Amino acid sequence: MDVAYAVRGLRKEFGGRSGVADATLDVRWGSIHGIIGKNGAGKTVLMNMVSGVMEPSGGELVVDGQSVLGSSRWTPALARQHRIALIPQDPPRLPYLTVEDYLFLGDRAFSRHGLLNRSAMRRKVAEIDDRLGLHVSASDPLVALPVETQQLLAFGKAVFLDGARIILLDEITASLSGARRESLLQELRNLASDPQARRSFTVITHHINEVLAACDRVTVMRDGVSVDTLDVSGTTSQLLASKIVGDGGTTAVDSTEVRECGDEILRVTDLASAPAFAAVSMSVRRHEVVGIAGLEGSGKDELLDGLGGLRKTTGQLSIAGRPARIRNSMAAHRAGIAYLPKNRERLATIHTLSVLDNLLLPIAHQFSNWFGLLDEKRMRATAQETIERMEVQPPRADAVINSLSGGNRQKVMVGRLRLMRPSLYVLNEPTRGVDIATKPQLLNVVRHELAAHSAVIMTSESEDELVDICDRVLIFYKGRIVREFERSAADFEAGEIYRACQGVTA
Amino acid sequence: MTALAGTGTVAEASSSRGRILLRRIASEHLIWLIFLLLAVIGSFLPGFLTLANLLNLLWGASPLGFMVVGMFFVMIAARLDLSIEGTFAFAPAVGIVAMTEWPGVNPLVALLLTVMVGAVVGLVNGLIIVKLKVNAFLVTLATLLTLEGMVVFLIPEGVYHLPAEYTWLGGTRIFGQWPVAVPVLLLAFIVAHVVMKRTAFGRNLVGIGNNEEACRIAGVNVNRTLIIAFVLAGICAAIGGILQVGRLFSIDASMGNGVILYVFAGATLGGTALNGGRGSISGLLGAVLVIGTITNLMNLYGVETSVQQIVFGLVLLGAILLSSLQDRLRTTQA
Repeated sequence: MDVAYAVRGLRKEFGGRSGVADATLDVRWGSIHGIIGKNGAGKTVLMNMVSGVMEPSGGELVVDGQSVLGSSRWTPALARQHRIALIPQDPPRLPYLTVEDYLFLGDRAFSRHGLLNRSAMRRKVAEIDDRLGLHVSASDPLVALPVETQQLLAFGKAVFLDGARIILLDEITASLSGARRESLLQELRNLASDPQARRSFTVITHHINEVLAACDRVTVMRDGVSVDTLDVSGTTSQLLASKIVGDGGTTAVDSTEVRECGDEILRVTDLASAPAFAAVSMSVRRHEVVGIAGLEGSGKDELLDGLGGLRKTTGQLSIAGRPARIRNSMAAHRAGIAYLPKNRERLATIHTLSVLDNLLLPIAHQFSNWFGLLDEKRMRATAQETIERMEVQPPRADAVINSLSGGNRQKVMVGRLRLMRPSLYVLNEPTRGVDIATKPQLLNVVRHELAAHSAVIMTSESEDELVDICDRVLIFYKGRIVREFERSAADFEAGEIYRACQGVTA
Repeated sequence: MTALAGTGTVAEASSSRGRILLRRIASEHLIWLIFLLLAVIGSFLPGFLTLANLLNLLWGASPLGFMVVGMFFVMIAARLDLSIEGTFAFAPAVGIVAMTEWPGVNPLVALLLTVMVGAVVGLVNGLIIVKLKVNAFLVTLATLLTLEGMVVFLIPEGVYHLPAEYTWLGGTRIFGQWPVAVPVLLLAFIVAHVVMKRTAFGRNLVGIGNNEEACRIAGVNVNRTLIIAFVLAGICAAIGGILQVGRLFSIDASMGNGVILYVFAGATLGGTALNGGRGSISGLLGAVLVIGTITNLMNLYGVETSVQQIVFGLVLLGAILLSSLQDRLRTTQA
């Protein structure tokens, strides 16, 4: 079997940070190639480079035997000429276009004398609809369709209308329901083995089971490097899981002790939020750091959003023995919950304001005197104290937050939560977008300062971090807690936790 | 970072400091440079640089000044309030009709009532926008039309004889020379400045304009803050109306028609971003002075009204170009 495209030592840097450090793989015609790895492993960046969305910083890309980098800029238009199509994770944002207009966007084949041949177009839409089992009508606006249907339409457009031969699917299966996922993977099989047209599919996924079920070969990405490429027939889920996790470096957090927990801070019973998660019951005590682990789409993000008041939930919840209803962010505050959202830049930082303003945002009113005026001296002192405690660089209260690095911004955000003196911290990936040097600092703060007076619930992309600082780790799988790991137990270890997240048993 | 900055020589450092200062002026206080330029142009004109003329200039700009401050409170939070043009006439109209129809309402009570009407209009706007989650531009467009209709309904022929107490703020000159409206206007700018800089409310407004969702999650009472902003806008418009009525010693049904365009011009010229989060009261004052000065100069030159409007249109165009230039300067600063 010959090679559809080959990647040799491809890399991509973003302002000194590397998105992909070294990727090398061959993808063959007539096959389905899986790319698996955790978030931030560089899967999407790699696909963006192959499809021309991002220009590589170095390395070589060979498409159908022809080296494409170097001579002219590698662009999406050029990639399209090489019959490469990327179906991105987020569907196209053309909300008010109809299915028909979207599918034929930029397509000249169906116009005659400058006018569109609508009836021919409708027949083609019906054909695609039938083939993918979409049940849409040509005149439906995209905005009225579920996300999965929009993604399948993008797929149909690439394969059946634009005639793409090298098709890259970025986590298209993540948003698909069970039956549709099966039928799409079956369709990929059929298309790949179609003797009349050479095609090749590259599928990004988080799920080992999907790779095993549908792919011919699989490349494992970890920390921007293509670790290995394997034939699926010769591998097992255990082997893949260990390659995805790696040996795991330690994060140098001093937290080996098993410690005494205090009184119960949070108790939830049968918490649910359709369709993300259901029947979640747990209890978290003072001084305890509880990790929530699970794959993307497992419902863990939604659970944390629910605790932070960003998402409606049903079920019982009590804070320090008192029943509470968390309908919105303000209710969460009143109940004593401080929430750090996952998307810091969009949901936490106020970009053009100073570090001081960002730190004191939730508690500014506490500095008002009886006249309603703020006591700037006291504000400055409080901000400066937090800046020093959190070791924010540069240590200046009036620096604009946007001039700080991601790690330092996150320190400011965690500092903001600390100033609220909550009884429960809910931290959704506190180390996300944080440089390696800052991570241990932040984790130390979580373990030794936040948990000193309160309870902490957190998530992390890295199972190693959870093992380092958590007392317990709860595993989310398909919207339910399926397992619990205790620090004192022998299996409290990153590899075990990752396998549990994948739903791998034994 | 500090190590990098320390590699430059002293001369480089001082010249770059000068450049930063220039940039700062150009990006934040350009409006004051324009004001200075206009003043220089004016100084060649006999009669411009006299105390009486300058006081007249400020006096004439005072109703607009209040409107611009009112708009600022909502604009900084990424909202718009078109209805302040309606409140500008409606609030005094209610006060004056109450005063003339009901014997119990003396002019002082009427003034209070006027301000309260402004507050209530703002409250209604704010509640609809926040609670029903409707676009502020559309809601206030509707209330603007409603209010202007109500003004015509209340005072179809206008009211031309008003008690001196009601027009005192807007129309009186103390010692025959000093208009009361001028210190009132300056006081309003000082209060607004303090509110923006020194109160939790002011800081929250800026935060909301920058990132409303983040403020909500951080626990800021976004809804309450926005409602207060609309109430303040209504109050400012009502006071602006009182000043205007006082200046004219009368009110008619068309008072303030079209003034919202000048309010936008003022706010934009003053560096307030249309999509919120950025702007300063000092810039606003500069903009009000610039608009007042242009009007004044054109009056001194004897330019006719239609031409004056053409000039203002071009000024607004300039302001828009200016604010985009300022944006670019600001974003390339880092």
